[in-house]
Formats: sequence, C-alpha cells, structure tokens
Amino acid sequence: MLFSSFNYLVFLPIVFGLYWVLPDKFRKPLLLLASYFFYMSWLPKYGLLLFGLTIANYFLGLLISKSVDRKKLFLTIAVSINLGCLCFFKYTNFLLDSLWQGLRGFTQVTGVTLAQTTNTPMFDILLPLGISFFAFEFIHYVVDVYKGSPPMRNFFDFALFGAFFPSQIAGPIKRFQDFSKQLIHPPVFSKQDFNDGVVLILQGLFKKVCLGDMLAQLIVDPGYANPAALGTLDAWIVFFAFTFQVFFDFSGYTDIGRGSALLFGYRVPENFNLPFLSANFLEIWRRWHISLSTWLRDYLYIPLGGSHCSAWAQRRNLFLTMALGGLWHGAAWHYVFFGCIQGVILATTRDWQKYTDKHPTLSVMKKSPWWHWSAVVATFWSWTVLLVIFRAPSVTHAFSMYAKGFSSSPAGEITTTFMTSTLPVTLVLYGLYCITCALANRTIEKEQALPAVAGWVANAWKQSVPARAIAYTAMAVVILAFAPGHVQPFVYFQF
Amino acid sequence: MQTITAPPTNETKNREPRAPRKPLWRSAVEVVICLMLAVFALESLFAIAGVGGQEFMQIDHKLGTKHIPNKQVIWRMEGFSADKLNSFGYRDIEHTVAKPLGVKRVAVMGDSHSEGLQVPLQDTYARRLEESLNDSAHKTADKTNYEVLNFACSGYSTAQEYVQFSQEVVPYKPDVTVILMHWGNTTANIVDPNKRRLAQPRPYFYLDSEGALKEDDSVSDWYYKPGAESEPLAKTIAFLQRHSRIYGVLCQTDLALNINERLYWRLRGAVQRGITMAQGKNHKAEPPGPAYVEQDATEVTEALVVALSKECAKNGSKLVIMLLPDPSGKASEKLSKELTALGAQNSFGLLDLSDAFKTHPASKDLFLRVHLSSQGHKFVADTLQSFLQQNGYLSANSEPLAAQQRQL
Repeated sequence: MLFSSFNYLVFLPIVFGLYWVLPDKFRKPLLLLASYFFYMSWLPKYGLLLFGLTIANYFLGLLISKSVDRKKLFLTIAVSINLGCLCFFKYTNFLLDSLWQGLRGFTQVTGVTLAQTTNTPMFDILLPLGISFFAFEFIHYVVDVYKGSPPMRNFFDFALFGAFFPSQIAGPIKRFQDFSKQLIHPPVFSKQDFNDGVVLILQGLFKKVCLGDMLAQLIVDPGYANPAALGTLDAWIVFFAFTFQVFFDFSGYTDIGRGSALLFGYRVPENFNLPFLSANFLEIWRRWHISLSTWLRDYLYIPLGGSHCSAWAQRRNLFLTMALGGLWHGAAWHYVFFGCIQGVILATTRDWQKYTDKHPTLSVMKKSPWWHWSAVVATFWSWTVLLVIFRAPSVTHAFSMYAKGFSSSPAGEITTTFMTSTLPVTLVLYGLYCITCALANRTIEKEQALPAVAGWVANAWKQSVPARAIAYTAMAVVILAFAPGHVQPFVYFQF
Repeated sequence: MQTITAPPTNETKNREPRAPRKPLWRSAVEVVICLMLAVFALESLFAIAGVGGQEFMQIDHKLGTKHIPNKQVIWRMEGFSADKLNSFGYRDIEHTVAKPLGVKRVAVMGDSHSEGLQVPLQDTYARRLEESLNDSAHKTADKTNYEVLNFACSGYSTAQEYVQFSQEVVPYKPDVTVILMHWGNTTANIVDPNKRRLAQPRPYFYLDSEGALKEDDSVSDWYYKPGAESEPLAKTIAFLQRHSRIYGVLCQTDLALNINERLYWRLRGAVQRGITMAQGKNHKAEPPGPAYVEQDATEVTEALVVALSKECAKNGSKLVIMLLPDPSGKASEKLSKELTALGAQNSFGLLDLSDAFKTHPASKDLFLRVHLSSQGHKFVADTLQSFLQQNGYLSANSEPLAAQQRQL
C-alpha cells in the first residue's frame, strides 16, 4: 500500500478513528494489526518474514541481555540472521550475476571454457518491501542491547517497533530507546498533534505527488531512457530534476510517515534538514537521510575504528562506510561506485577542513559569507552531478549522460516539456510555502509581533476549526489539481 | 471540610484547556468567508497554472454527451494541449456553416484519436491535412481551397457518429466524410438489452429480427428525462462545467481514480447504489426499452457504416473509413476484411492503417501511451492525403472507384 494511494487514504482514517475510539489497552494491538495488514497488503507471505525476524530478534535480545559469557555469540547469531536475510533477498542475484560476468571475462581472456550456458543463473527472488530498513532497526536493537541498553520485554511492543506502519517501508530508521519511551505512556489525543500531523501529510503528498512524481514522469524517466535525444540544456534539466525528484520523493514519504505517526500520538525522527544548504559533503550527509547516516556512523564507522585512529585508517573507514552505504542503496555496481566516490570526497573534505583550519589566511576567509555561499553552490552542483551515477542504470549509461551535459547541442523536447508543464508553477508554489513557513518560524522564535493582517490570519488559523478544515480541503484540492495521471512508487521502496 | 480529589491521570494532565464555545452565527460567518476565500484563491491559482480545464463535456439528450462551445481546454493526462473549442463546440478553428464558393470540405469524425487533445490543435491530423491539401493545391494550378472540419469528440462510438452526421455534419455540406475507427468503437455501438442500467447514456443500435438497423435510445431517455436540464441541480452542474476549474479538477480526479483505483471504483459504485436506493429506486431495475436478442458488435457496426455511407451519398458526400491499428490485431483484421468487401458493394473507401503503422521506421513514436503523438497525427494526415488524392476523392466530379479500395 503506497502512502500516496487511494487505499491508504481509506486505511488511515479508519485506523485513526478506531484507535481513538477504542479503550487504551486495545490501541497498541490495533496499531500492530494495522501495521501487519499494511505490510501484507502488498504480498501476504512476506508478513511471515517480518514476523519471523521479530521473534528471532526479540528472543535473541533477551538472551544477549541475560547471558554473561555468551553475549557475543548471541549477538553474532542475531546480526547474522538479519544480515543473512538482507543479503539473501537483496544481493543473491547481484552476486551471481557479478560472478558470472567475472567468469565470462575470464573465459574470454584465457579461452578456457567453464560453462556451456551463456545465461546467468538467477533465483526468482522478490525483494521484500522495507527489508533494508527493518533489518537495520533490528541490528541496532541487538547491538545496543549487547552494549548494555535494557531490552524490550513486552513482545507486542517489540513487534510494534519492528512493524510500525508509518516508518515500516522506507524509514526513518527508528531507535528503540526513543520508541519504547513512547510506548510506556499511552498517547493522549492532542489537537496540536492532529493539526501538525495533517499538515505534514498534506505537505508530504504535495512533495511526493505534485513534485516528485511529476519530475519523474515528465523529465527524469524520459531523459534517462534516451540520452541520445538530449540537448545540453535538456541534460542539465534532467540532472537537476533528479536531485529534486529524489529529495521530494523521499522527504515527502518521510513527512507522510511522520504525520501519520503524529495522528496516533507517536513521534518518529526527522530524516532531512535542508540538505541543499550544506556547505560541504560531510554536512550533506548530516542533513540528508539523517537516520541512515547516523546508523552507518554508529554501527559501521565507529566499530571500524571511527576517528580514533591514524589519518589513513580514518580515510579507510570513511571510504568503507560510504562504499557499503552505496551498496545498501541497491544491488548494482553503480551504487557501489557512487558510494566509493562519496567516501573519497568525504575523506578529502575532512583533510581539506583540517588544512584550512591550520592555514592563517584560509581560516579567516572560511568565515566570510561569500566563502560559505560559494561552498553551498559548489556542493549542491557537485551533489547533482554525482547523483547521475546513482540514477543511471549503469556507470556506462551515466557517462553517456555526462557526455550530453558537457557538450554543446541544441535543446530538445525535455526543455519544452518542462516549460509547458505545471512544474514551474508547483516549484514556485512550494518555494512560497517554504518561505512562509520559515518566516512564521522566525517570528515565533524571536517572539516578534505579527503585522495586523498576518496576526488576524494566524489567530483564525489557531482558533477556527472551520478555517482549518477548509484550508486542509483546499490543500488537498491543490494536490489533486497538480497530481499526474497515475501515482509512482516511492524511489526508496526499492532499497 | 476536606475534599478528596482523584490524582490527575495521564489523560487529564495532558488535556488542553477548552476554548469558550463560539456562537453559531459566528461559526457560520467564518465558514462562508473561508469558503469564499478558498474558492477565489483556488480558482485564481488554477487559472494561472492552467489546470482544471479538462471538464469540457456537457449532456446532450440525443448524442449522450458533446463538447461545451468556447471552452478553454487544458489537457495534461497524456501529452499536452491548451486550446479553446470553437463556438460550435468542436476542437477546430472557426468555420462558417455555409460552404463558401470554391471550397471543398472534408469532415473528420471519430473519438479521442481524431479529437487529438493530446497534441496542440495545429498538430492534429485534421489541421495538418487542411494545410497540406492547400499547400499541394497552391503548388499546382488547382484553385480549390480545402477546409477540413473536425467533428470528433472523446468517447464517441460509430453509433454516435451516425447520429451526429445527420444532426451536425450535413449542414456543412462536406464533399468527403472521414471516420477514424478502431476496434474499441464497435463494442460501444450496442447495449445488452438485459443490462441497460450498466450502460453509458448514448444512442445504441441493433438489428431487428428482419435484419433492419434500429436505434435504441432507452438508456439516454432513462438517464436524461425530458426537461431535466432545467432542474436546479442540472443547471448548477452545467454552470460549474463551464466556469469552475475546481469542479474540473474534481471531475478529472474522479475519472482518474475510477480508472486506476479498484477500491475507489467499488466504493463509488456502492455510493451510487445507495443514492439510487435513497431516492426510492430499485438499483437493479432495468430501464425500459425495446426487446431484442443480444447483438453482435461487428455486425451492427458494419450495418452502421453501410447506413452512414448511404446517408453520405444522399447528402453529396463520400465516406472514407480509416481503421487504426489494433494491438491484438486479430479483431480488427476481421473487421477490415469485412469492411473492404462492404465498401466495394456500397461505394465507401477503406484505409486500413495497420500495415502502414507496423512498417513505419519509428512506429513506437507514433503513439504517446494510448493516443497518437504529433508524429502519429502527421503520419495519418500524410497517409490520408495520398489515399484521398490517389483514389480521386477530391478531384472534380470524380466517382471514387470501388476497385480502388486499397489497404496501405
């Protein structure tokens, strides 16, 4: 069930209504049932996989906490089960294909015949939705229990942690310590949470459907499908369109998830914090897919040695972390290549930062606004250019896209499509919305008095239920108006 | 006296203080003001952005539906176009009803493929045909001016086109009438006499026990009772269809969800049945109509084409049927063969585009998803032009030769 599908628009209000009508003791079981229904509506048999992993991690968590001398063994078993499932479902065919390609290369070079068949043997494996996310949540759980965190003793609470539908399919990757705190005290219905939740859902839908899906259908997919037809301007429109598509798609998903969780009185972590305003790649990874970056830091980078080792070991750790992070995104070499480049850039950025900190002139220049904003523009541009490797189906394909972007040829259809579509209007609309929100937040933070009209509007918004209801409906109509003919799956579902 | 109060529960601790209840009139005023503001803001936004202009059909008792005259239509569902329907409601430039001297007219009829909302108006095959016929006439000594009139309308069946011809096309006195058909049109020409309540309101046809072609308007009569257009609800809907972009957005969403979302389709059906029952009607009741056996769609379609060719001949026009390729191929192949044979007997031309589309070097570029792309329209216009010219449909006092029925 997609967050942006009609089914979810029916499912969510029903679960929401039942949740607040039922007595406290039935609410958590209802959420658990709803989460399994949500997951199994895609492919029922994979509900068993989620349930099986939940049982295994629950008992192994208890064993790790109780055991004195075999903690490490139980941890190894638990991590192996989670990683084993992830690798089997996600990487088996990739490994077979890579091995087969390697063998073919070997036979071509040496002339030795190793196999009669030319087709790669493949398993018929369908990747379970969200496995990369809930497997990482379970690994975090067992590792933290191993480190001394108290385990979750209530099985149903633990099952809800693993299956909670607002964050089940594409994160954010939750931390069980934060989630279990919320399970102790039953949530109380709050108008504030309800309003914030509805606004987040509508905001997320706008980002996903009106911006992400439109960019994908009109610009990105046709652009990457036929690089030969692109002019220079087209190629750059396609590059930037993908940067925005993946941001709107994933942050839109996260907004809908966070909004849905708020409707039930739960809070899930934020995943994005204005990533395109980052002044370097280290900062981008602190602002983009925050829950994955922190997971990689805590459960991969730090165990590898982190920053408490020699300069070369630090570089190696960063490189390995990002290369594996790249592989996490998908079973293909272009993801690994993307991760490796990120690793090299992060290591170089860190060295550059150390150098500029020590250099007397550069350390002063670094503090100037023009340095900062130049760095922001350069970082955004480089990020966009590197995402071509991420989006293209192969590294070769990515280079044919670059060839179009860095050569001179007249504009093709993509430019016309972009200009005649609703995208310019929706992008302006989203920009105005962001500016309004930023100004409102700044006013609230600085406790400034609002101008008369704005004050009246803010007051009406706070106090008038009809005003809010009509505003929500109007926002929904705007989403319907700018939505494409059919909804696309979320980009991060494949990961 | 000491009073013992219960300790604050989690629920009471977190409960927000209640705001004093507002008087009802104040809430009503708020609702009206907010609604007006929201409608104004949305209509303005949609007008600036050019969305919500897809609602361009109105009820027509005889034809089922037809275009709203002078309606600005913005199409984004597949391809893109932003044009205005002409003052008669056709997706065409303005034409006088009276045929000017020295002008030869080609009337184009059909469904969404001929209407071509997926491409700009000047790219439709009708406009391209007019342009290229006049270009080639000016290159030779031919002083004839050509006008190509596009009467096509989304969703039209051959049955609707037959009715439309007498009602709307004849006054324009076309010299040639071209109908672009595909296999899907044939099934919409008949209605199952036992399932009329599930059918769209439009004219249907059937062959009676003696093989004569008869019209069945029972479904339209049931949906659109005489005088229904003057009812307040119908008037409001007609007003919204003409003027409201919000209404356009909602209708478009309804259509898209009905096509793409199974759950929506089911719920919508259930709500409709509920409304019918609430109105005191039996939702399973069949509309009254003539009794006849279940019909064969191809047979009725062929009878309709023959009737149309006679109607054309009676009004001084020559009929050409163009067949669009059918993805499955088999059904349209049979239809094509039978229409070719009928064409030879009844003097109408048949241009089957299937082979021409298949052998085109860039055949996949001729379609967007379902409908013709700009290249597709151009290809149809070029193919049709050479067909009309080679078979003498446009030459002075010529009789198209039955022997010249050819498939490209």
